[in-house]
Amino acid sequence: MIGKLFGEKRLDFSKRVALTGEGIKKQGYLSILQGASIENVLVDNLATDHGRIISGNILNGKKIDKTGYVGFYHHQLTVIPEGGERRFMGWMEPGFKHWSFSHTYLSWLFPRKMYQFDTSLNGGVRPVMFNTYYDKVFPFDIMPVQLLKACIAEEVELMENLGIYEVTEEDFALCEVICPSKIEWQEIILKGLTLLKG
Amino acid sequence: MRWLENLSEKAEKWFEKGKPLHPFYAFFDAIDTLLLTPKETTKMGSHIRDSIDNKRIMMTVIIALMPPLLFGLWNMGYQHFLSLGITDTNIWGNFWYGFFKFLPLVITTYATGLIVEIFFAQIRGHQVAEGFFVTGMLIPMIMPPEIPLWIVSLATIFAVVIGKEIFGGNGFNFLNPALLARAFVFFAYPSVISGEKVWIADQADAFSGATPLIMCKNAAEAGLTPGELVSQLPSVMDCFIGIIPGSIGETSKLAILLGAVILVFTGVASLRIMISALAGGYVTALLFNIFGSTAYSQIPAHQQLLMGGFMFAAVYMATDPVSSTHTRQGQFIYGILIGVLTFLVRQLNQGYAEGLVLGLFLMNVLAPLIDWCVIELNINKRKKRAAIKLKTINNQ
Repeated sequence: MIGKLFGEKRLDFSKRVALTGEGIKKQGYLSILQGASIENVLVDNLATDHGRIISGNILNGKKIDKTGYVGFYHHQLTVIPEGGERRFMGWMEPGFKHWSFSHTYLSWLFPRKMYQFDTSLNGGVRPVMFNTYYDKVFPFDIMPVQLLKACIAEEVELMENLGIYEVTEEDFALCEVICPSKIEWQEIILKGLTLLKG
Repeated sequence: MRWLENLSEKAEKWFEKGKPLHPFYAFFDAIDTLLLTPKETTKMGSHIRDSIDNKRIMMTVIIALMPPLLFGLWNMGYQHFLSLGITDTNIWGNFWYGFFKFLPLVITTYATGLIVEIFFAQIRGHQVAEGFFVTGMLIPMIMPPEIPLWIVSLATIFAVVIGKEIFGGNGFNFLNPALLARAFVFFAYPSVISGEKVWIADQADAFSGATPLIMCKNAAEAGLTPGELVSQLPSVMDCFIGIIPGSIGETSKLAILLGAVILVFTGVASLRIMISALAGGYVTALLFNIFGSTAYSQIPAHQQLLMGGFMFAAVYMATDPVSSTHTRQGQFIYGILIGVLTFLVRQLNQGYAEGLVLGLFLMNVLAPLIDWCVIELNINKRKKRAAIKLKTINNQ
């Protein structure tokens, strides 16, 4: 935008947005104005009435209304089906249909299978128990669980020592996805970062 | 399952705050989430979540417990009939005999434990945690078959309340609750869990039902030579397959290995702890082979590993994610020290033939200290790296 302002002497507020997700009939790219309402974009293009519209991607995007807008830093608009369907004895199913990072569901037998994702939490919130499980998806040389616990306890010195300055909340998105205890990782880390800002 | 959902929605209204049944909300919630997966959806952050939850993990551990359990039930019947002198039994006869001995134990444990769990969940306003699914299965698997049910009940209450609930419930316990139940029985009612008459159900009086570890203890008292002791002991193969007296879970090492494969492959338990515990135990036993002077210390190291409940505990109890160490590097130290301590107690203090309880408890207590050291090491490493970076920036 700034480049165009000085190069072409033109104030251009348009941006290119990717329309993604299972809840959209026709995926693709779209040129919209910054801050424009997405209502017209999505009209006739929603595959489901009961969908969640996300400005950004599924890992760290922001949930918005049908009349909302794509955020300033986002270049993607995602719609996925809203979950909450209750399955009978879900914890005992063989689980061919359910994706899991661990091998606890039999879906590991089909590594190339495509899955339908919705927004179900798939479990109840519990204390963090599987402490070394997250290391597999966390890329940095930082101890994720210990940093999370320091953030919960608001131990500023420990947070600094464990490397809070080197991360943002979205680095923990994958930890949040695979978390068996269904902890809100990004929210907790964000709270910790806000605490440091003062 | 639409009708069940409707039923649950209707029933939930009776348990809401202010309604007469509200004191039983935790109970309702436990049944409700057992039957149907929760209806909660994600709020912010990641919008999709893994299908795994704690119920699924506990279910996986129960599945992994099945091989030793099924074998143990058969073995219980087999040992019983063997003690009576009957050897031409069929496989199902043995199995059902063990099954009906085991059933009251497991019902008692689950009933007592779940009542206590639901009671505490209601007081705290929490959901009932799933940890007890596994604890309730482990406790009867490490008890003698003929133990009075009230003792099992008392041990379960002690394990759940003292071992877990007073520290904040599942996820906050620093001791393994199942092992605590066994330790409780061992110290409070030693007569029902020690000696050579307790490990075979309804055995004939004349038959010696000594487990290999008790044989070793007796050998020390009788002053046997190593050669005499080894000839008394069951063969290595019998120990490995598990056709020896002992608690239901611990006898078959083959079945335990099968369970270990399930646990490691599904990513539920740590291979690091299992391997390092076995390594620690093996090396200690080997050292006693070389330097020891008692008859017991001269038993080959691999045979010592196969005796008692060491393998069972190394696979199912030491790897308990809550009471073990919470750092990867710490898990090696934790595992090795469990092996070393168990075999030190077994060798040096024949009063506690099964040194495992003491070894594992000591390491449960030490686990936070190990974690602290690992975290401090990590912090120091980070500081050093930051200092080097600062230096290079200043030099430029």
